[in-house]
Amino acid sequence: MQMPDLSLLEAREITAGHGRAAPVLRNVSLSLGQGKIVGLCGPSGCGKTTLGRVLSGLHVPRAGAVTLGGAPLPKLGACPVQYVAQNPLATMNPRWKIGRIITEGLAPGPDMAARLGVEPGWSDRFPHELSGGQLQRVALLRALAVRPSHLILDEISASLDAIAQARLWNCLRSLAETARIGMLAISHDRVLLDLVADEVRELSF
Amino acid sequence: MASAALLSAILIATVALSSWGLGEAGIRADFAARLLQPSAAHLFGTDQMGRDLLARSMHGLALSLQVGALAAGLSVVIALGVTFVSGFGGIADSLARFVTDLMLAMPHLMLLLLLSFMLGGGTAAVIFAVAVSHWPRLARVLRGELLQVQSASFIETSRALGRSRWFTIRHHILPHLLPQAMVGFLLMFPHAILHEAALTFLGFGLEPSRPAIGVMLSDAMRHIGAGRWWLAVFPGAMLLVLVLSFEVLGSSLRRLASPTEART
Repeated sequence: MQMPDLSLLEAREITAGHGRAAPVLRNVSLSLGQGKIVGLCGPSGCGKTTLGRVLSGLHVPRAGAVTLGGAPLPKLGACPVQYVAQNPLATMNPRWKIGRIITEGLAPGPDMAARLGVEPGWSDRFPHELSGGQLQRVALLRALAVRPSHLILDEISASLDAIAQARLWNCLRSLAETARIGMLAISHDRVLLDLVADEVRELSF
Repeated sequence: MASAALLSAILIATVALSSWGLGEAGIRADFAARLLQPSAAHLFGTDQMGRDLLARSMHGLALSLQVGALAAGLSVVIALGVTFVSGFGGIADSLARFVTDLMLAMPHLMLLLLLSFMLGGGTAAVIFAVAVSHWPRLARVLRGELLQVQSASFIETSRALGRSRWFTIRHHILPHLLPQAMVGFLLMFPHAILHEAALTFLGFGLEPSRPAIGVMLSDAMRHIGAGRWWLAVFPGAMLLVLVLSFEVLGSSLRRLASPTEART
């Protein structure tokens, strides 16, 4: 008998949509091993973000199942599949300071903060006092602090300049390899995905 | 805006503290000084019992503040309770919304009169009547805020990071609702004061022996025809200033309560 791969995140035959509208995803399957970066690209509105949210347990699909190591995602405690949103500002309580936001799950190590370029001086600021790129790094650090097995990265470098993008993806690549984190990089930019991902999946209507 | 709010706060504090400072002035009758026009000795004049109208108005406003604070406070507690029920969603939310709409559909002055009359009048009846008739508008605002916060991305992120439902209520939802409740409390205050005065004026409110603005205005009606204008003008104007002070303070707090508005 073959043992299930405990590190494999799988979405099987996912059909998902919003409200009563027609589903944006129909019978989509995808698997994501640890230590690898899989790219997901496709035109706007084809369901990339919806699939990312389904994979991280934030969106309940109409049909199909998401499993991690053969079992459903846990309902209690920090989710091992963390979703980093395209708009990080919306995922942060506007009344909280950055220091509190970063440690909402668990406190990250100082080396992790340094690797992502999150400066200690940001702790006393409110989210609206940071730029989009700085917020994205804060959101990544917060997600990494709970030691996830997989990360869903939804257009995370869209608001960064080319140099900052290169630094961020280099850092994420090395994290994927050293910390054995599986990553799904969602982007409409095929060129970027070809550069950073081990394989690229195309999603269409 | 900030200086107007500060001035309003000072004015309200002065009224609240005046009762202690004034002692028996404006309470004790002095028949030798009946119905004197405004002068240096009596800035607002005196009433039909010879009581100084400035001191009596201050006593009246202080009493209005006490009644307003209790009525608005009780109203906020009811509104928060109804919002809490709404938070469960489904049937609980439908029921809370139905009760809120039902209360809003009733003309609230009529409801006030009925409740106060039913409870036999007096201070406690006025507080209860104002509280019971004034919570629905605030409950509606709080429910809207609750729905907005509940659907915010930072709530689902918090849950995904392993935080419990109780944690999100305590640390994310309540801190968003409480400033709105505080603003609601301050904005309800002038309504409560005005309704207390109206109920008392109509004879369904505070006891006639108390130095309430409503009682003073009601008594003044008997003397207006004789040209004793100061009996109604000064207490009425002071009531208006107090009410406007609360409006200014409430509006300033509303700006502060919203992080996006506070930034501008």
